[in-house]
Amino acid sequence: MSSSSKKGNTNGDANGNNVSRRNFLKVIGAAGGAAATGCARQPVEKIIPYLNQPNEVVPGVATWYSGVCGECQAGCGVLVRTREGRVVKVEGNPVSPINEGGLCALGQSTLQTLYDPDRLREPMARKTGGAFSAISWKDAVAKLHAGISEVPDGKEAVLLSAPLSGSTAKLLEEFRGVFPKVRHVEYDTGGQAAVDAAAAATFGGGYRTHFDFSKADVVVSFGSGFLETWLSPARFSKQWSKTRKVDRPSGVSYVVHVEPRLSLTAANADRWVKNAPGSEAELLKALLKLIVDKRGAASISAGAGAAVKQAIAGVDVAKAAHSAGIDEKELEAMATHLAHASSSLVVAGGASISGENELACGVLANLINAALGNIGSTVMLEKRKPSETSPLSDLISKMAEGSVSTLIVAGVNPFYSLPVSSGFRSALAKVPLVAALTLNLDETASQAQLVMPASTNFESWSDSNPLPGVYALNQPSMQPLYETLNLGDLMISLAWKSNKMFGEAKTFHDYIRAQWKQRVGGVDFENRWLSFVEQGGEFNASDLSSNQATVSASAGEAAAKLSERSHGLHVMAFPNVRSVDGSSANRPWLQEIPDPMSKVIWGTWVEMHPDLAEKQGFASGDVVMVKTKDGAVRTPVFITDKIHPDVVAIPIGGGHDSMGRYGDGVGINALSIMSYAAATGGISLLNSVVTLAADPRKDHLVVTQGSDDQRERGIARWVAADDLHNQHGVHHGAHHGEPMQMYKQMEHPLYSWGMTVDLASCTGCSACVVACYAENNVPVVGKELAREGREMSWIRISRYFNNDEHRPVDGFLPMMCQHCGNAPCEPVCPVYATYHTEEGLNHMVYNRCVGTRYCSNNCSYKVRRFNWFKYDWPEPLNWQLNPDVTVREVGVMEKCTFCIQRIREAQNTAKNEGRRVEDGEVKPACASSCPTNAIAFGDRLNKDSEVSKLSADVRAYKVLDAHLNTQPAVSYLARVVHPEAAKGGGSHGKSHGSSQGGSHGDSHAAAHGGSEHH
Amino acid sequence: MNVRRSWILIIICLLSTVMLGRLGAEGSGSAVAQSTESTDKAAGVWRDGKAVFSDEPMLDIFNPYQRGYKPEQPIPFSHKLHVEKNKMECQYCHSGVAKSPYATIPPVELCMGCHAHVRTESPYIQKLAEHYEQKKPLEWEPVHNLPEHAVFNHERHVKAGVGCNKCHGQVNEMEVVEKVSSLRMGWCVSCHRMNGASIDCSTCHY
Repeated sequence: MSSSSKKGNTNGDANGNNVSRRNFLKVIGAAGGAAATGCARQPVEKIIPYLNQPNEVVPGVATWYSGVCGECQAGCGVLVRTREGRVVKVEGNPVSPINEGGLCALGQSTLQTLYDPDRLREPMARKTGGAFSAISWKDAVAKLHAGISEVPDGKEAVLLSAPLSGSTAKLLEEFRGVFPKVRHVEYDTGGQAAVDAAAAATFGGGYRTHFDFSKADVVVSFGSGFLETWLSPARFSKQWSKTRKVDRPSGVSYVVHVEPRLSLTAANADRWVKNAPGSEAELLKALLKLIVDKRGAASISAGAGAAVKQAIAGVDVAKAAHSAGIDEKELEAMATHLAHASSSLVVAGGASISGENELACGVLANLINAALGNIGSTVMLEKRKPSETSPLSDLISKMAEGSVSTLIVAGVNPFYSLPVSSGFRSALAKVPLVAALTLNLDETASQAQLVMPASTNFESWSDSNPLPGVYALNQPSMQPLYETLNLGDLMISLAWKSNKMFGEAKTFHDYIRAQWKQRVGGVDFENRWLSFVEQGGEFNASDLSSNQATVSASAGEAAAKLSERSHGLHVMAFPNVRSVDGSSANRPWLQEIPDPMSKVIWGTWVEMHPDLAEKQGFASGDVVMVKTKDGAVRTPVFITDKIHPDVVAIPIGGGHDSMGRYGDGVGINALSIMSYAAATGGISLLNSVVTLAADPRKDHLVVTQGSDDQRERGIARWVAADDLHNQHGVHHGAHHGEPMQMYKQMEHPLYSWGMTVDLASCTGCSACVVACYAENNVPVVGKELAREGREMSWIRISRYFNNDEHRPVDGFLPMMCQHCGNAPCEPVCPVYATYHTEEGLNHMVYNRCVGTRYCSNNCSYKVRRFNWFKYDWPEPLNWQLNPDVTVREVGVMEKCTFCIQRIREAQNTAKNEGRRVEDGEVKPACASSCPTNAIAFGDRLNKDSEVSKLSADVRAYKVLDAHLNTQPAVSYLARVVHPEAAKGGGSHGKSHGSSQGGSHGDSHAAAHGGSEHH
Repeated sequence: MNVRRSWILIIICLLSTVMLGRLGAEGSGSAVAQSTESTDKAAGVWRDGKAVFSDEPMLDIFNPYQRGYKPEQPIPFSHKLHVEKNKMECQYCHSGVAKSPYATIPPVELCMGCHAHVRTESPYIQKLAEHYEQKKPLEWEPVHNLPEHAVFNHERHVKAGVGCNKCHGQVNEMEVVEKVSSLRMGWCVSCHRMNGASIDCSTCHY
């Protein structure tokens, strides 16, 4: 892959103004061979050494920088791997108390925003004719400065951004001192605003609730996707996984999830309760009443008592259960579990509770937690200044009135993500100056008069304060690709124009340093600052367990007053791990990884219950029109019985028209037909359906999993926590005895690499899939080729359903090359391109491969991928390519290598130090990305290694080994479910309803069956 | 007719003898991974960059970087002058060779360390200084270039005591750097065999 970069390493200066430090790259001539053409002497690449080589850079050796992931408000710590001044990989930072290593799919894919070929590269202003033309930053700042400093009387300028934290928030305060007419409005798409509103209504203003799943023995979640997208999914996943250990002293936790559709979190719960859409508030009330009944009113603290009493006045449990379409015993059982648990947690959030009763749901969850005494144990209260931001609805009405003269939109895309009915689109036209600080010329920016390119976290300094006592610090890890600024630097530039400075800060970097110096004190600051930069922040998480607050009197009222829920058919717009709020639509990795539940890639779909589909006469893949009072969308049907018949569901994130080449025109925008809850200023992600009708248009869904049923083959197994020996999902009674060996067994003199995957921790979040794409230069093929079964992912998440109504998923199984000891692929290769190494790897020699594909045909696990074409990484996406991994050519087979480049790197270090590779030294990309540490990797010859111990566990099994004697190097540890949940169904991998399999067969099996049925 | 046939037979016999001899010298030729203990160390003959049959110079026509390749460089840097006359160590400039997979080409800054004062009257040094002052990178022509599917680590070889000249030849005697070894796989493997290094495919190809 030929490549050349014009940017060097920042060496701490993100602003590019220190020109003498601008370094140029040496293109590694030795490794960067271009394709030879025939016998002619090839056009040689040049070797371009640095002019001035930074001290920390040795060409060919990776340099790591700590930082913060800026994808959501969670503030996960990251470690950024750079090569020759170029970011090539992001990993979780193990010392960060937020994610403790591990990073979600969204965080992993940030690289594709940095190197987005459609990124905005220079400031642009709209000419009178309507088209954009490039202007200088100087002119852009001058234009914007005029807009915010010369605000006419009676009007105001508004900065609209995601909630700000750390120094940016502090700087904004000072900035508003310089520009008093600028008001800040927060636009939160992550769910934190709803949680804060509920905390304010329950405990009075000035508190934020933080949840700790790691201490909870019983969790009841109403709609909150805490394992996928809600608030801080990487942290919650880690906490949850700690409660799923069989050796946990208080036993495996019991998790109940209430949601009308089977979300990823519901699929991982011990019990999924399929309620009618919009019935959560009533259920929460009934649950509170039952808990009070069970524990006795006297057990509830005096403060909470009055509010609780008011909230449960006149509640009829039977009626609530009936209205929600669930069994009353279900609520009884939930209440019993909660009332008897020594530690529990109730959370409410996400799409299904949004709308009119969102606040009531949040308050009721808080009241239940207060009634159960969870405040201070699983629900921590942080004292903080109440947010002064005004609701978005207020801004929209002011914009529509014409009283907003300047609107600065920073890093958010309300034109896309607000429902049409919010009136934002028409109101935007009434604002004389709309300025956007943005990564792409997205839907909002393309309506602006002035657009300015924003920096990513890889190119600029920033900090945040995600938890009390936790200050995350982000340093730039490469020179900015283009002339870009972040919000902090833009504010400083604007103030500079008014001849004002914030202290002595010339750049945002100076400002952050000054803030940190003020906070931590000036003693030995330089050295401490260096250590903060090195580890990615200051991590002294405060102990909040002693913070208690009285439940305010208004809480009871907020909980008692419920809006009447509308019956009939609803449509829900749900966030998922691939497209949280739609801002990541132009990342090809996220478009190509399958949605963990539906396994659909590239596009949107509408999930529909088979009963409803039958009634309407829809088959899977038919395009339907879903019309609400707020608009209509057309998208293909996906028929699944894992959804309540009264609701259809569409994923958020599709339907862009101005994001770039990968995001535009893919799917539809479900948010556009949602309603806008003007009262709470939030979007209701649940809306009534007016019409559901067939559409003559034709489209197709690409589903990457052929069979949802594992047919008792024991692929994804589970055990009850009190009966670890009895593995389910496997056909019992078939004992094969000692298998006959056809080939001489391989000896492993030095190492025998192996992997274990603990299905008790795997949530199916797909972070490993994205990490593998990033690490191993796996190409993205697009929708049409994927439809032919030609997707290239080296690791996939197999998800198997069973016939248990309340725990319908046997498990999520990350399936990668099993590096079989008796590999079926090896003996069939006519050219010896795949063979077994002495280190126990099933190795693929690309330059030997002639592309017969016999190996793939003979692979029992269907993990080999063939390069049908040569795939492109349009400049500068190719800058992300890992220089340690060969970019494969057309006609070559490829598959998981156990990240052999990382093994070689560790062996190199070990050899330099004259020792063996130690346990834990090699971590493949999938293992290091896993937010729950489900994947372990190491040497099986070392009896003390984690892998050796785990593969000897009673739960360990090898997929299909008993049938085929393939002797995989990968062991899976059966998923653990709570004993209570194990009682539920006769789930032995029986076929679940025929609706799904049958309907898929029609539209996809023919095209796709060959690659995935196993 | 018979005479002609005999001649053909004789020629075939002679060719076969030569070929078999060469192949025998190359070793089994099989790609079966062998443990290093079982390697027949006498199997390969590695001398002056001519190791095995597959290393015959006539096969260079298939190689884009042939032996004898000595491209013109933007500045006619003389290794002979710097190494032989001025007694500079290879690692003074190629500082990455013992700590990185790449030997690394020195930054222009390093050249200027001396040439800000030494031979400033030379037009080539003036060209170098111009590049440095104008922040214009120098674009050198690679001489030793491996295909992307072959991974080579300088650090491991240098630390194993393989001298630079084993692969690069007597660079200290070259006015213009010239490729003297084929850098073909058979050539690499024969040296690996001789020295008991791994000949597993995954050592270099991944």
